[in-house]
Amino acid sequence: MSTDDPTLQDALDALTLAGPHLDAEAVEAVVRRFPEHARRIREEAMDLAVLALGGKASMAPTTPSAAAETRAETALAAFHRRLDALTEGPKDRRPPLRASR
Amino acid sequence: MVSPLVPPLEKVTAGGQRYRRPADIESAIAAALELDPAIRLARASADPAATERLASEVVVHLIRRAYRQGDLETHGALLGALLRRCSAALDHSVRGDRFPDAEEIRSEILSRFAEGFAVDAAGDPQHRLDFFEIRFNAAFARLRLDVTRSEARRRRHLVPLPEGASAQNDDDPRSLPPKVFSRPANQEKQLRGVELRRAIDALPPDERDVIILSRILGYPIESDDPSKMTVAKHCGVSPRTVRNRLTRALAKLARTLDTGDSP
Repeated sequence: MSTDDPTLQDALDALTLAGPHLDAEAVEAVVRRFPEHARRIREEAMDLAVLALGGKASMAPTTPSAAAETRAETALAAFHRRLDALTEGPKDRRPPLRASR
Repeated sequence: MVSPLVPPLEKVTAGGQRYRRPADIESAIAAALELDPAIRLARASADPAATERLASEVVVHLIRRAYRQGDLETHGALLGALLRRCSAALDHSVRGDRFPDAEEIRSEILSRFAEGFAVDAAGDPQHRLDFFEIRFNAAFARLRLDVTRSEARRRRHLVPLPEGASAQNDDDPRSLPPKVFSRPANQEKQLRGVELRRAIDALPPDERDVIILSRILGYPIESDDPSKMTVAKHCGVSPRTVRNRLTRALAKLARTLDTGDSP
């Protein structure tokens, strides 16, 4: 979702799994697996490390505000627009694209 | 133990290893699948404080499953519930005092997240949503970082240097009292962490980088071992410059945190 490069996506996933409290050793272990993305991995690690400083306090869920509700509706509309664009038509007129698993 | 009700994830690493959900998530998904659909939806939409509230990883699985089964009504209801949940979290994770156009950024993050479900529904060969069934908060945080990073870096150079910040200070930062990185316990530690994060985010980029690399991630400033990554190497400057930046940054952080100012 955050990148179209599969190996970069793998690298960032590996970095995220190495958290939430990253250190240089853990970051460099990921860099050794994905040396082609070294700089991006370290930059991502820096941002994730700062984000982790607040712990759960920074991720605490809250009751939705009025703006949050509107935003969610807009995002849902974005989902439908994107799905229509990808599948060339409103979804409710077609069967699911992928089989149940 | 993998439940037969819960299909494995499809994403595979470059090394051929299949992604796997943590055991507690697998169990929570299996338990959610046993629920009456109306109860399942109620628990996906439950108040944040409700103990029966479904984990976001579980809700992501249920949304994808509903789409694959052609249950568009359930799919829409669950996706709406998850988007409201994430939207509420964005109210405080993307703060208006840091981003003048915070509302625009929040909308962009949430829309990109929603569009990820469209890509997934259309058959994303990278199975990018799989990771949201493993560690949702971290995956969503990464998405948030993608959008906010460029905005933050664009604005950071506008932050003025506080009075008294000297570019010529050669003090060794390792000898400074590590007051701003002390480790108070539990709740106080969390609150201090939030304050520290805000203070670090307000630093100029060069000082922010050396603080994070050196004091949070623990990279050495320099090393005799040429194969070892150091702060100086990452920043492309001399160890002396790193120390100068670190000294300035620590002084600013100490001032900010001592006075209780939130940048």
